[in-house]
Amino acid sequence: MAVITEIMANPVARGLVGVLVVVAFISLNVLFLTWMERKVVARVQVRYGPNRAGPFGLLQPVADTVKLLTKEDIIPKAADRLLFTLAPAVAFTVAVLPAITIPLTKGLIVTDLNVGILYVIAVSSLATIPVIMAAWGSNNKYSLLGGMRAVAQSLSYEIPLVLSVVGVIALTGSLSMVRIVEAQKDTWFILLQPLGFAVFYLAAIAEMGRIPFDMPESESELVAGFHTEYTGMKFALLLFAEYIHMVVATALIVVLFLGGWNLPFITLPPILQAAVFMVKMYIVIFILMWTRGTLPRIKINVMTAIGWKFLIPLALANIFITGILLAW
Amino acid sequence: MTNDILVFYLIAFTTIISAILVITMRDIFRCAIALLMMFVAIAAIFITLEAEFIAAVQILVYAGAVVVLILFAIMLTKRDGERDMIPVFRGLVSLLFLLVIMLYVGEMNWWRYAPPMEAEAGSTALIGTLLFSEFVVPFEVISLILLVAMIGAIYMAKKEVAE
Repeated sequence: MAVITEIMANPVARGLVGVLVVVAFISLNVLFLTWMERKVVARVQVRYGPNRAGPFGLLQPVADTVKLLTKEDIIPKAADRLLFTLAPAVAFTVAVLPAITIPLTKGLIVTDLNVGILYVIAVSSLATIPVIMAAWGSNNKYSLLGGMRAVAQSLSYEIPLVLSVVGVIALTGSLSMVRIVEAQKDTWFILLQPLGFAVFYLAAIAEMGRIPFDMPESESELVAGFHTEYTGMKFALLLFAEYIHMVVATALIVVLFLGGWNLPFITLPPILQAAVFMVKMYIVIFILMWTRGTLPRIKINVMTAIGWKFLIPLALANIFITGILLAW
Repeated sequence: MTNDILVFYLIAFTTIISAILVITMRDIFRCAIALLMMFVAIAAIFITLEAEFIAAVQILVYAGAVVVLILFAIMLTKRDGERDMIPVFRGLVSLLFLLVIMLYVGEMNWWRYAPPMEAEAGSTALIGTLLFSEFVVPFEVISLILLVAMIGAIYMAKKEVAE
C-alpha cells in the first residue's frame, strides 16, 4: 500500500496510471456496448442477435476482435499514407480525452479541472479532425463526401450544444464537473432546464453521428462514409472511437442533467454512487439504441436546417429564460 | 520546478517543430494538420502557466474552429498536385514577418522563464467579472465589429449566388 501511495504522489506516474485506467475502463464498456447494440437493435427488429459465442452471445466482441486483428490491413495505392494511418490513432486519442474530467463519484475522477465542462467542449470540438483526415487521406469520393457531411454536421450542432450547457453553468456558478453534480443534490437539472436538456440531447446525438443523424456514414448512400477504405485494426479503432463518443456523451448527459451520482432523498456510499452513475448512463444508452432501431435517417439539408433554425434559437431562448429567472 | 522546465522544453520543441512543418511541407492538407499540432502545443503551454481558461479557449477557437474551417475549405477544392507560392515572394514575406516580430520581441524580456501565474489570475470567474465590469465597453465594441464582419461575409456569399 505504501509503495502505491508513493508512486501516486508523483504527478507523471499518476497521470500515466489515470490514462491507463480510463482507457481500460472505457474499452471494456465499448466492448460491452458493441454486444448490447446488436442485441437491442435485434430485439427491436424481432431477431435474436448474437447468441452463439458464449452465454447470450456475450463473447461476440472477443470473436469480433480476433476477426479484425487477423484481417488484411489494406492501404489504397492512391491514399495519403501518413494521414490514412494517423487518422484512426488520432480519432481514438481525441475521443478518450474528455473522459478524464468525468466524475463517477466525487473521488473517482482523474482530475477535476476548474474549467471542467469548457475543457470537455473544447476537446470534443477536435473530434471532427480525424474524420476529415480519414476522409481526405483515403482519396475516395464516398469517403470525401462522408467527411464533408461530418464537418457540416458538427459545425452546425456544436453551437446549440455549447449554448445549451450555458443554462446549467449559470445555475451552478461553476465550470467544475464535480460542482455541477453537487449542485443537483436536491433537484436534477433536467427539471430546471427541460429545454436545455432537449437541445443538448439532440445536439449530442448529432455530434455522435448516430441515427437519425448518421449522415457521415449513411451506408445506403455513401457505402460507409469516411471509413469506406479502412480494414482490420484501423477500422476497429475508428469504430471504437465512435462508441467512445457515445460513452462520453451519455456520461455528460448524466453529469449535466441527470444528477450524476445523486439519487433523490437518499445519500449513498461511494461504491453505490458509481453504480448509480453507470446505471443512469446505460439507461440513456439504451434509449439511444432504441431510437436507432426505430427512426429513419433525416436528409442532410433538413438536418442542418434543424440545427441552425430550430435548435440554436431554442438554446438562446433557454439562456434568456434562465437569465431572467436567476435575476428574479 | 525541474519537472516544469522539462515539460516546457518538450512542449516548446513540439511547437517549433510543428511550426516549421507548417511552412515546409508541400501538401497543404498536411500543413493544416501540423498547424493543428502547433495550436494544441500552445494550449499546453498555457496550461503549464496555470491559464486553464485561455488554454481551453485556444483549443476551442483555434484548433476546433479555425483548423476545421481551413480543412473544410481544402476539401471543397480540387486535388490537382502540389503548388508553391513563388519562392522569392515567399522569402520576402517571411523576412518581413520575422523583422516585425523581432522588433516587438526585442522590447520584452522574452528569454526569461515565466513562472506560472497565481491561481486566481487565470480563473474563469475573474475573467468573466472583468469582462462585464471594467472592460464592458471594449467587449461590446468587439462584439459589434464581429457582427459587422459576419454581416459582410453573409452579404458577399449571397451576392455570388444571385449572379
